Amino acid sequence: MVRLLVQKFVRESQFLFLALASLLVLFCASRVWIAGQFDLSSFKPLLEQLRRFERFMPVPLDHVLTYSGSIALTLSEPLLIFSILTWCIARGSDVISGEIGRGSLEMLLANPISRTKIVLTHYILSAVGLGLLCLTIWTTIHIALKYCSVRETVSNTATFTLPFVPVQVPIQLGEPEEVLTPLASRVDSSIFVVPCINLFAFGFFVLSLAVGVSCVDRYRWRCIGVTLAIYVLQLLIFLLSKVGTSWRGLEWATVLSLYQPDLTALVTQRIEGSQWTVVASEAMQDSVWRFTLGPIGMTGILTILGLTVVTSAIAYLNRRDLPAPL
Amino acid sequence: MLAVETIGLCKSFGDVHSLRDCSLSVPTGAAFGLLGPNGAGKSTLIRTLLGFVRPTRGAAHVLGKDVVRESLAIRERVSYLPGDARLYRSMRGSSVIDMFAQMHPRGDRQSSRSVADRLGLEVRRRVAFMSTGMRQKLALSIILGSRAPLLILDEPTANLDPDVRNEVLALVREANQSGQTVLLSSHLFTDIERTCSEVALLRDGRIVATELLSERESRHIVTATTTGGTDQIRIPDEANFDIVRKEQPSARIAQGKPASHEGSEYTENPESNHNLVLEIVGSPNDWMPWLSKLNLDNITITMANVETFYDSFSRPKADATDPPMTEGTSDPSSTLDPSKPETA
Repeated sequence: MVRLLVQKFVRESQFLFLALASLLVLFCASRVWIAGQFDLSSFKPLLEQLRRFERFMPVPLDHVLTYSGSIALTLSEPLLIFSILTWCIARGSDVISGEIGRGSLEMLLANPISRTKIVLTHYILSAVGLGLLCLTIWTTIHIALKYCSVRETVSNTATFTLPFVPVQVPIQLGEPEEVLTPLASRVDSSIFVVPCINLFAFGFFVLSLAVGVSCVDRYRWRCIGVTLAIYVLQLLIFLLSKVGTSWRGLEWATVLSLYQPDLTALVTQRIEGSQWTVVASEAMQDSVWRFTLGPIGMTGILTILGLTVVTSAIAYLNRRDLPAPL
Repeated sequence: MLAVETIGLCKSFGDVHSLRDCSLSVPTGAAFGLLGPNGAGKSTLIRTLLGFVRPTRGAAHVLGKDVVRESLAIRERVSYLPGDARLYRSMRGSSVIDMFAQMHPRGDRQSSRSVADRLGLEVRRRVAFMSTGMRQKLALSIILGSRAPLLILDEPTANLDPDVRNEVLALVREANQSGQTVLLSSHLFTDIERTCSEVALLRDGRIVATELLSERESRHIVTATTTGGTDQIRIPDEANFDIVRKEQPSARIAQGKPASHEGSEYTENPESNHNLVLEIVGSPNDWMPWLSKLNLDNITITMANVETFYDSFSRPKADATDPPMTEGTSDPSSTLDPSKPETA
């Protein structure tokens, strides 16, 4: 029975998955390649103009000018978020309201299969798909870092130390020359592991929300609309919480505060092992991390919230009258 | 054991009462028809039996299992065709048959394929490219191919041409003859007549009447114009027959049966209006001499059938809405109806 449901799910979602995975591979690879093409320090004057908007940035502006900071921003890019949202909302909303809309739910439920099994199979497979998309992102970044190079100018100098005086004197031996350095030697791809897990948790929450609404509502279009509306509302609250210190408390009212891939990458770079913490250490808070929860703690909260939404929705679905096909 | 039993079943959706105090018993091995106009509650009753809808009050059992607590066990032994069966559009017909045959413990792939062959369905085509009738055939192949002890069919002949419809009704009869209990919902009189042994009439969520169709065969409907007072209609004490319905001259009964149609619209023919309707139980040999002595004109005698059963419980025309389809309205095959009026 489950095998047949899995086959059905794969048949229904394979094209969307392949399209999104291709888009993410292309986007992440291009993003890493672009980061290696420019001397980021030349953007400093430009970024200085944006200094007053720094509070809206997830990380300090100076970090954006580093290779790791620039690549970490990939995980907050609208296109990547859009792709993840598309998968989560498209697949999540399909579970019950999609079947009702297609009129196939009654034929499916005419078989000895429980509503819980239908929802859980679909939910777990959607989560696996989401996990594969996140894995695709990390793998693409990892491979792109290996194969992309950075053009750096190396000064052709030597130094010698004056006898009896602790002074080093540089000697210009020739013109500075440009060399190609592998990007992997500048950025360690392992610092993106936890940010990608955080991205998965964020997607998992949105997926759970879409599944939850789908279990409650009969119209798929309304289910998509409600899920997007909740997301946009969360985004607005998140932006408001950045406006000033008096609005800071709003951070507690939005789950987007729990999605911090850039900051996680930065703190990982600065304090080794900090990415795996559930509760932020003092060292982290003294550095750039300003949350009580650590990266894994945030991921855990997102996951628990998602599971809570789906558990409640399944409980409701099992008691609800199924509407006749639309 | 009863295949289906409902006791005082009620279902309300807010202020809308879809089922009111429905009590029904379908014996194992029967072919039972649910007849009623649109919105009578036939589909709601069936969906309640399968656990899709929870009853507001009352109880229901299918094959001895409670519909609320043992829905899964019920669906293991029931093959159900929804009223509006829709399938996965991206799949081919053959894949749909295979999938559902594997999904149901009583599903039978070979049998479903042979039903599809009998219905003349090309299973290699994708569902998205099938017509509505072909999709109905596909759903029927899945359901009628099953070996489940109980078949529940909601409007099985909807969207089918007369030839296929006959084939489907034949398949339903065969399923019943092979021991499967059939619960068939329809608003086509002939579908019920040709497949069922017992019929229940639903109206406004209530089961108005239940009757064995074999009993119907001993009944006749006499329509006539009285030339004397209606009080002359008296049965002799020693009579070997009985009048179970006597309707007086009035507009209410005058249009008991539409006489002609244009397209799918009913049109009343004033000339067909009769002043008296009698439903007589007994052999015509017994009551015909008595009838001939009455002062009646324009006598028409019709064998009682599902339609007359429906008519006998129909509401006055003024507030009747959306009645079941009579022969010759929109369904060409209904002209095959065996009960032709015999004019005395």
